[in-house]
Amino acid sequence: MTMSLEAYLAKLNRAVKTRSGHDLALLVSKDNKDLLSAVRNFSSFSAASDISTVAHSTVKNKDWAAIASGSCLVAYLYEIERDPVLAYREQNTLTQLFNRVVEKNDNWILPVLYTITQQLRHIAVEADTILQNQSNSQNSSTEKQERKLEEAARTINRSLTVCLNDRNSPLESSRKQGIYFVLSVLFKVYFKLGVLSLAKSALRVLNSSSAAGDVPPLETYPKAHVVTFRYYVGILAFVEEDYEKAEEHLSAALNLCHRKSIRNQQRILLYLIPTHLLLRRQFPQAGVWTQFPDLARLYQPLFAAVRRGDLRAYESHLAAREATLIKRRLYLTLLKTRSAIVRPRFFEMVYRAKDRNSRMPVATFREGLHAIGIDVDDEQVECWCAVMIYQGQMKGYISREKGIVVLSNTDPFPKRR
Amino acid sequence: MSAPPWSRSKFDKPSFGTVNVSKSIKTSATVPKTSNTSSFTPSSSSSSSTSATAAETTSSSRGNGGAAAAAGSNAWPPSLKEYVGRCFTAFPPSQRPMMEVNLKKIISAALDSGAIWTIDWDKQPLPIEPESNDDDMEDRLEALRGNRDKDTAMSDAPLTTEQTTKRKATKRSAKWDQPPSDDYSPPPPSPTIKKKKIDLSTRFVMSEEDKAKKESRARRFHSDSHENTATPTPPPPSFGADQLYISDGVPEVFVGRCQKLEKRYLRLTSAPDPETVRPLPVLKQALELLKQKWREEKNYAYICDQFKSMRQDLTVQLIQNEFTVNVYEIHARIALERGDLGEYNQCQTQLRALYEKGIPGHPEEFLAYRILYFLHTRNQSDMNELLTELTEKEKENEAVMHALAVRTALTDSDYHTLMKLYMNAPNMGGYVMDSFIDRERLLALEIICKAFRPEIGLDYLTVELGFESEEECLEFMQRNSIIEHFDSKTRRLRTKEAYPVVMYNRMAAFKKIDIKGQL
Repeated sequence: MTMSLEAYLAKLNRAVKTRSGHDLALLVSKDNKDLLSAVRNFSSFSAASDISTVAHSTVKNKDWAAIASGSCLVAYLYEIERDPVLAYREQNTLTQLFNRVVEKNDNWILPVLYTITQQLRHIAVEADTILQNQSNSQNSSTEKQERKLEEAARTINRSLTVCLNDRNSPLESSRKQGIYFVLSVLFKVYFKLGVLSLAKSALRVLNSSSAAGDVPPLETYPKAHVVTFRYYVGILAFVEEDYEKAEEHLSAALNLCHRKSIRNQQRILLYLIPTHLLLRRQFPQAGVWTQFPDLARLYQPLFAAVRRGDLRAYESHLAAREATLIKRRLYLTLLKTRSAIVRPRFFEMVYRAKDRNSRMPVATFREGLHAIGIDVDDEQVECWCAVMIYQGQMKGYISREKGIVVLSNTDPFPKRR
Repeated sequence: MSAPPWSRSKFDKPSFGTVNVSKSIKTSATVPKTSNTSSFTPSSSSSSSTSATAAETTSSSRGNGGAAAAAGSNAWPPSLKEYVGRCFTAFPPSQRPMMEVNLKKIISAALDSGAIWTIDWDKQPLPIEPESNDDDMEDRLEALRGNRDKDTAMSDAPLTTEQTTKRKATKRSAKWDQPPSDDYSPPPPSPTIKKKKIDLSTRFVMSEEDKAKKESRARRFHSDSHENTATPTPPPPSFGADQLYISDGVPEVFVGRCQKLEKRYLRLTSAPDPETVRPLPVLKQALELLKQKWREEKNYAYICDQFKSMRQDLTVQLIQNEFTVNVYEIHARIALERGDLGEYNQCQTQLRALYEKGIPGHPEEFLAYRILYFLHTRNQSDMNELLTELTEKEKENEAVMHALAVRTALTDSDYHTLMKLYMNAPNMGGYVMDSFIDRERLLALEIICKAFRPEIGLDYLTVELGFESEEECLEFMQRNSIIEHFDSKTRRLRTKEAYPVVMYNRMAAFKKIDIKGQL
């Protein structure tokens, strides 16, 4: 089945006239088969100016004609010419134009906006990869070019504003229904760019709008939107070490997440598991490891070491995974886990090995550490004990004159803070 | 705020077309598939094209395989270059991708067949028919979108204050004047180009060239939220932004003629006058003078002011080389030595940009300061991002390793390790740590008071709180109102009694601090 350009444009025009957002979203997607079949007939780009002419004669609305020809151009450059860099440029222009079209419409247009913004993100990432490889092979690291994704972020940010600023349509047909989806696209871009500060400020904008009662309640949004949104808010809290807030959002995301989208559940658990450990000393059940082998590879040895209070093993597993953990912004939290959980467990094991003697010489702890290959002085051991007492992981006090740690008779290593 | 005056046109009225050519070629130079179209640059497109553009263009054609390599701009007839220029001026940006695709095909065909020198390019039809639509309006609108970049680079920080720390000058080697490994060499730009005096009547008229610049800036910084404002908003004179767009558009190089070594800092509100700007050779002498004066007089207010004016002279003359890095590094180190974190932070922001351009300096040393500075501001998420960007080479650097170890010690509240690191900080790291060490001492003391009972000796406190003498430690206790719980006979602190006071002081010290760290 091939489709002529005219037939494609007519189809698109119909979708616009009937305000069929979902149909239209499919039609402007660069891998739509009708679109591809329509542009495949362009042998050369002398025909390119023709698209515009044909589009303007078929689609009467000037804006939509431009969007139609823009979509054709993107599909042609991306799928036929296989040039993501040029395709990116067109997609960005297209999205900017589309943002202005969205302003004149209500929520029927949102599916199209979703497709266009996501497509912009995908192509921008691809274009950056190509440009990156080129500049690497040329070895010309003299001046950094702005990444395409940074430019795309501004365009998508504009899309978000267009959704937030719907002051005309009633709530049930408001563009505000698109807020969380577009914000999630924007979060993805910011995380990819590593500019979490921008993600936070986007969140602040949203929070101030919703505090003013301008945003419908989160429950009224589709689950899919809410899951992604809360996932990112959870991570933002996680990297700020606000673990209570992280747990709240990540748990909510996990509960709403579709049973079958294993990959998304895995993404959420990647942050939720260490959060639970640090906050509640909770270990995942064995079933979790079998269901998510990737998580098992990353976490299982670490968690086993935590259980055993095996400080040395924990440190070596941590070191072996440092690069991955840093990349995922997990490293600092797992480092915190070491002093907050693993070290107290180790001290507890030494205490048990010494028949739960409530008067533990500092030297005994030092020797215990030495036995697992950690050589430190008495002052270091005292400092660690002091921190554990201060943080409530150990009950008792240190008598420096006698060189002993006097432990509480009841529950000297409380399990909960 | 007016547009940065030194960016005003020195050419009277270049045609709009001319400007467009260099702009388009610049754009296409960033696009891989068309980069053989990009190898025609300068000569035809007027003297206004920049060396930066030329360099970028040639570099982008380099990696592009045989065809492009063979098609160096020298191998092309001038008439072809003019033809390409015509192509770019004839089409609005919206049509350029298609035009470029076709143009590419025409030229590669000509190259393949060897007809490149025989075709009469003057009579060659354009690759596609120009189409008139209202996209031009779009372009113009886009050109008018202003850059709202915040003026952060040059905020009016107070020059100095009394030093807060009692660090002895001998304790750490102050290496503020560490010279860069090599001296800079590029010759100063030709002094024949002179800045025209701008009379008031023309200052508010936008030249065509300015429009073009605005356009290039709009592309870079275009801010979506002001899309529909038709009135041009001149950007505030933010140095970072100006450097970016000037080096990318038409260079406005001028060389000052001031021969005086010393100059007071004055924030620019109008075009810089070459008579009061010092050229590079004079600046180099001035730096030597300042280094000597700092060594001998240690007058921070004077030195800081002089360095600011030196940075300003460098900025307005667009000088970005090893000397620039050296000036910023020395100023940053001096600011650190005096605990002026605000001034230090300004320098380090510029230094990061200069290092990113590949200008040699001491990036690892300053990376370490930046990590320590994040610890001062307790910016967890920036720290996380910084960690994700560290390279293996950077992690092996002694100063960076030290800073990361400090970070870990802080996470663990491990005061014992922290104080050891404080006592052995490389470079000027100790001075950055000064900014947060008292806060951490209070936390350490709180931990100690909670855990050690019934008393703790002054000797232990002195060492574990990172003091050099018991007197300093006593003074610290005095300042924190716990000296009454100190038994001067046994020289021990009664921990239980001191604990609530320390806890109160610690909580006050850990309240959110101003992230800029301005004094």
